[in-house]
Amino acid sequence: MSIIEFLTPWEFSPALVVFVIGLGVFYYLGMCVTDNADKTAKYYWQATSFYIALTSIYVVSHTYLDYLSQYMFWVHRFQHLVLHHLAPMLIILGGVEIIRKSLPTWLVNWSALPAVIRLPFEWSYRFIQHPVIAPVVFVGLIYLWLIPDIHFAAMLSQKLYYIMNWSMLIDGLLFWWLILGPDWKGEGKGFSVRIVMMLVVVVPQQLLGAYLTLSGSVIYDVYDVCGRAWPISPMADQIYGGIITWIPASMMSVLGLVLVLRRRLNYQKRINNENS
Amino acid sequence: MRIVKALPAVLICLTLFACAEKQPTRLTDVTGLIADLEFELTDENNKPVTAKDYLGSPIAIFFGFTSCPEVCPTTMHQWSSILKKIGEPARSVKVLFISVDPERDSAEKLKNYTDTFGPSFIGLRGDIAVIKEMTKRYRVTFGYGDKDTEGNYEVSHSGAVFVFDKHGEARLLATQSTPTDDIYKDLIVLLAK
Repeated sequence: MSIIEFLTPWEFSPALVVFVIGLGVFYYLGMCVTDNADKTAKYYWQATSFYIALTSIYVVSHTYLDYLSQYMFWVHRFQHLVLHHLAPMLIILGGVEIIRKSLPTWLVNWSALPAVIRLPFEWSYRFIQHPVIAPVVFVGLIYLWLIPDIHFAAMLSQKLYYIMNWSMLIDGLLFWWLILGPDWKGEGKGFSVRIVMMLVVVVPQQLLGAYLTLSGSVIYDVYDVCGRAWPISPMADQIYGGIITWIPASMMSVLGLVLVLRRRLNYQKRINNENS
Repeated sequence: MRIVKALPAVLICLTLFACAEKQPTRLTDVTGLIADLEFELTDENNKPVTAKDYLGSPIAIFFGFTSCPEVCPTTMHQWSSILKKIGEPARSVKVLFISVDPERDSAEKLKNYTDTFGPSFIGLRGDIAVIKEMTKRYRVTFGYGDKDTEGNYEVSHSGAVFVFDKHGEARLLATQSTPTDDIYKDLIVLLAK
């Protein structure tokens, strides 16, 4: 397979192209107006992290990998690992808030908008980012799309397939923004809530991954119905998919936990240095 | 964001309501979910054919290959027995066996294969690119394994049978686990329409 064949979108999605290019351009414009004094090593690490994440979203959603994700359970699980965990986390760690510098002013001055437009968004945002709701939605979405009947419909209908992938990406961004976004610098307030949220999301993911891996029967028949990208036994496909859900996905959540701890420790160190 | 979250649930409810209005089917109802029947292939007599040539009665399509050890013969036998059981009214039904292995499946081989199941069974073939485009339309796929020393290889393919009505609109989806009796009953309903 040539590189061109690999990069050719399986199903062209204008929304994804606009999203990826838009975010990439606004980030770049934000970088352009950043003072040189602020361009530390962290700044370059963040930019690298951001663009790796953006590229990975594009690759899993708009290349040959998108085709494989539709016809191979384990590739589908990998796609969701990227869309829900890896890419959103790297985007948030990449300091995506820099785009505030380049976004249109009406969006930056959000509070100046009429309440009728602003409030529905703010209420929904506050609801979904509630410390009890956010982890439930984060894990709930993984479970929802893996309910066999819903999974079947999502793989058979292009519309549902798009809704599935977009819901994973958007929820991933919201969740990791809540945990590792710039609103929390490592203060004592908000620390334990973040730790609990991370712990709450790890266990159900491990249970689900273990269930998929260790289940003795084929749970998702849609891949037999639609055919697989290459000959592989359905059980092997399911076991690989289960392992991806079990180990790397829960490891990402553990990594999130470590990052929360690190931010808290760094903050304490900074405070101690300032005091001494 | 909440709206985005609720969308899947809303869609599923809408689909359920949409189903509730119609006569319930035993097989998966794919009306509106799957694209209508459309293709340009060659038949087992090497004659160019299009979907229009088969409209006028229900049409079932299956993507298989003649060297298939299990899924294809099982499915074709299942359909052959259903059509025999329905008898006269099912004479006009067409089961199109579309080869996903056109390199090995010559027109002659396809003809010999489909003849064993009955006159309703017709083998179709085309270039791999054309077949790939067609399977994409129905959101299914196929792939090849590595060749062994004798040049044989495995083929992964869809085990589904898509059923279209006499106008070529997608109606039903039968899978490997669908009971024969369910296909029989739904086909009778479709024939009466």
